[in-house]
Amino acid sequence: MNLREARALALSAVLAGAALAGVLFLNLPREAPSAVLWKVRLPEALAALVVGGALALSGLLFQLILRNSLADPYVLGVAGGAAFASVVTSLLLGAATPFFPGFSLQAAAAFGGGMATLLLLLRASEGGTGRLLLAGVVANTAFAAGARLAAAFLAPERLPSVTALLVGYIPTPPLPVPLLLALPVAVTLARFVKQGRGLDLLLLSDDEAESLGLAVAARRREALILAALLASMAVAVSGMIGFVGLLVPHAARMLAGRRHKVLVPASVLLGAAFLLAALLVSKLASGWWILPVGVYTSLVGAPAFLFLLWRDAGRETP
Amino acid sequence: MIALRKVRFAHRGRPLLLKGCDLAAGPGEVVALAGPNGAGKSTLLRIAAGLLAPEEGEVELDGRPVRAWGRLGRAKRLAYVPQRPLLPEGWKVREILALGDHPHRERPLAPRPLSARLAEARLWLDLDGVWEREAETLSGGEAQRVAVGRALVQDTAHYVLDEPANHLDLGHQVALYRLFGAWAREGRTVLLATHDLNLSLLFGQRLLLLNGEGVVKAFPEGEEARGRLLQEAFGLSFEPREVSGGCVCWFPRVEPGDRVLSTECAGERSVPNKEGGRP
Repeated sequence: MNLREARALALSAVLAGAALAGVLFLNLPREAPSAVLWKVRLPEALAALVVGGALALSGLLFQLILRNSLADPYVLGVAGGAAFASVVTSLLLGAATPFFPGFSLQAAAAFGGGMATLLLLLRASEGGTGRLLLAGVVANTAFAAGARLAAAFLAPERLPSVTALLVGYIPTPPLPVPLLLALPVAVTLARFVKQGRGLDLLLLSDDEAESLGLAVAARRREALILAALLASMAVAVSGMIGFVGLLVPHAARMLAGRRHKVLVPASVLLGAAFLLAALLVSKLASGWWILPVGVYTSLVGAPAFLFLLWRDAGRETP
Repeated sequence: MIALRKVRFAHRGRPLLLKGCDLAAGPGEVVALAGPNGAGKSTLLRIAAGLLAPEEGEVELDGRPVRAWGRLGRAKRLAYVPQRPLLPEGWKVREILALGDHPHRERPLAPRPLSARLAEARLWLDLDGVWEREAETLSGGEAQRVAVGRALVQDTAHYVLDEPANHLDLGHQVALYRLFGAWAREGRTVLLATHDLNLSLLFGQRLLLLNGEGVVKAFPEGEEARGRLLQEAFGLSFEPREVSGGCVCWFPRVEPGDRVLSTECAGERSVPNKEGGRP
């Protein structure tokens, strides 16, 4: 690891730490601060930390698998599948049906829907990157249309929960929920930091990577499964929070360069920092209005992304 | 040593492409494979590199089936450069070259330190001017040199290169062929596909022709046999010309009307007939 990479990791960690401290301690109420801290702030902060890390990591992996830096966790239909399954479950079963402490049946369905899409993706990935992208985008559109159709039949009082799912929010879950999601993030992190350069080789053509000794098909399948798993779990916990998965890997590349050994942990830290900061902003603004956190990530993320595109527009091939 | 015996192959849903190809390239040899478009040169090279399994026939690397070496084992012995290398967007040239070190990351360690191999690639492929440039800013020829440079960093006993001189200017083509000569003198094996018969002949490479019938033929001795084989393979008549050093090069026979600068008026534009000549 060189100096720049070490500095990028340290900066990411500091940002994540600062945002975490802000969410935990800023504006603690005078009465019963410790109860609020432990029962509300900590679960919320942990949920934001883990969801942010999971989305950023999932986005980085999808960008790698598709060799396209415009990919995000939602582009390949995983989120569409999750939304569709969740809305249909609401339609069939009524309002949030408890399933597991802190999880509704709708959330579980969202996870299942996301993972079901993975089966399609695994089949399509055998036909190459282009086919994978096409299959994913078309599946996403179909699922989104299906979710809208199902939502049209939904009783009006249940619509807010569907809207929340589509915009993204940070729940106040019981502690086991963020810890459960932290597990696949940790596993993915450990696995890919260890693979290091092997992951970088996926950016080459299949023949080149294979001739350098990489088991391309197996490595790509593994990355696809983990990326879909992380995205599905994140959607199940907090709905479809936008732009974390798209923007954060770009920020990580600007800070830390191109090597995935460093990009993977940097993305997790920066994703956590970004979502925690958005949560902090939504809390600070709650004196005036109450909006789900997904609104803020998109409000900041979309212009930031457009700025990156605008800045890079001039420097293409000679 | 790369050896292919009786290799047969068809791409899925297509007619048989390779109909029993034999090919052997030993240490210290530079073997150039020529042939018409779509004859199967790239397919044959991918089979030789162990990236594609033939339907029938044997593919050996140093006396063992190429697939028996395992991926990493093979990657330590054989480097492959495809016809259209894909350079990762945003990566600097020196970072892309360092990817060639991948098979040596695990023990046993590479014979020479990475920094020495990087310096050698920088020198041989003339990458000084683009060393810190990002992949998407490179011209076609520069990108091609980076891909060959990565194979050099891989530092293997065998090199399989698919039209490695693509997009290169003449100066860099000559430098590249000198590199192949240096590899051969070090006892390495080089197998390449090419369309430039004469450059291969000038550099003393052993020429093979993959003709339209899916069979590999050696470039025979004797001008008459050579002319006949070229005519069969490319559907053109060729004429030999001796150049300095006694090497005989081959050029397609050109009709007076083919020349753009001919003095008489070319008349109306006409579509070539089936034989490739003018009506």
